[in-house]
Amino acid sequence: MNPCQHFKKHIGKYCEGDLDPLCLKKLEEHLRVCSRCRTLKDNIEQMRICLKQLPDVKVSEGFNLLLRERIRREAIGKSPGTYSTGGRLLIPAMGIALLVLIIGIGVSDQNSSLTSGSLGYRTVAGESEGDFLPFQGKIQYIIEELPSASAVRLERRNDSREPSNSDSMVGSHPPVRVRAIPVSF
Amino acid sequence: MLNISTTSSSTPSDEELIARFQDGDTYAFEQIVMRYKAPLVNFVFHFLGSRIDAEDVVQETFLRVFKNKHLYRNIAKFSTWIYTIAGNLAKTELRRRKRRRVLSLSKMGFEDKEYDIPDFLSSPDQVVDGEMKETKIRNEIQQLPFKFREVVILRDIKDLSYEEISRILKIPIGTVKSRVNRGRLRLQKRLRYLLDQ
Repeated sequence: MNPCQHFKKHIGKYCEGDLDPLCLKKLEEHLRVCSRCRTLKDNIEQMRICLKQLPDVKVSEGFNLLLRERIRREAIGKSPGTYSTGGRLLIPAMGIALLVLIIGIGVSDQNSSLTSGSLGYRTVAGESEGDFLPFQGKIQYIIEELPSASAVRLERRNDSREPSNSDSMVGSHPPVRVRAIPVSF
Repeated sequence: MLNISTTSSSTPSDEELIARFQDGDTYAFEQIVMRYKAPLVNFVFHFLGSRIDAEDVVQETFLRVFKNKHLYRNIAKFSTWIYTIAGNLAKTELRRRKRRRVLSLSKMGFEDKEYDIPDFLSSPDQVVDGEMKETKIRNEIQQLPFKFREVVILRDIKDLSYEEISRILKIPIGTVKSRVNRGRLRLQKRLRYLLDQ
């Protein structure tokens, strides 16, 4: 093996003072005559100093809190940020149910009656009341059957058409139709 | 050697702490976290180049220690055990990155600028030079093949003994020494332009 290759093979041990005396003597003799290996040795020693002096990275202040939270979640059997499908659907479903309930109460307050429509919705005829409805006339409400995972928006429009026989009329006001429209988020 | 496994009479050793934790003393676990979080974050940071990712890996490491405390047996040093877990998780993260092809070399060093600057009396130019040099060194470490990178980090940065590295990586001491030597030669080659300045 050529002396430079031999030196490269053992330079690690040389730098750490881990060489046996015989090998050490050979390498030191080689270093005296080989400038390339001398430079290599100097570079490696300097590099090791640089590596040892690399500044530490600071740990975030919130590290312990976050760890505690992860452990807590682990302890209760939930991984962070995940919910069951039921849990994800529960809140919107409750919202929709509440909205439907409010609409139902509103309709019933106006003393309206419900009749079945032919296109999968229910029609309701009602009466406008003072300031709540800014126009006079009969009111007709249409509440479409909604998919369970949708929210609803109510739209009211004046309808000049005469109500059908199936609509229950209250008073002599023109009909107003309230339509529930699915809104996608 | 690691300076974190102190065994003076006033300070419990790592092995004593984990034994107490195994007996249900959660305060002992907190002490382990306080003792190891910074060394482990720095250790993993050298692999991943991102402090945020490193902290995430170290959190996972502590979580695994918490969940699997019963798996530790007092036949090896606790530091060896926890470094093995952190190293394996860092490897997994690197493999995951490779799969997703999101390993960004330019990310390293620019995202996290919270390094301590050792010499506070330096001029701004020297500080900038120092930071650039440090960033380049960290980048070049990341360019090393993994098998060389891990031994160079453990030996020359974390200052672990060859025996400890051998236990952590589960490879013979002779292989560790050989890899350290080859890793240093490769790194020196890459950093020669800096070291000659």
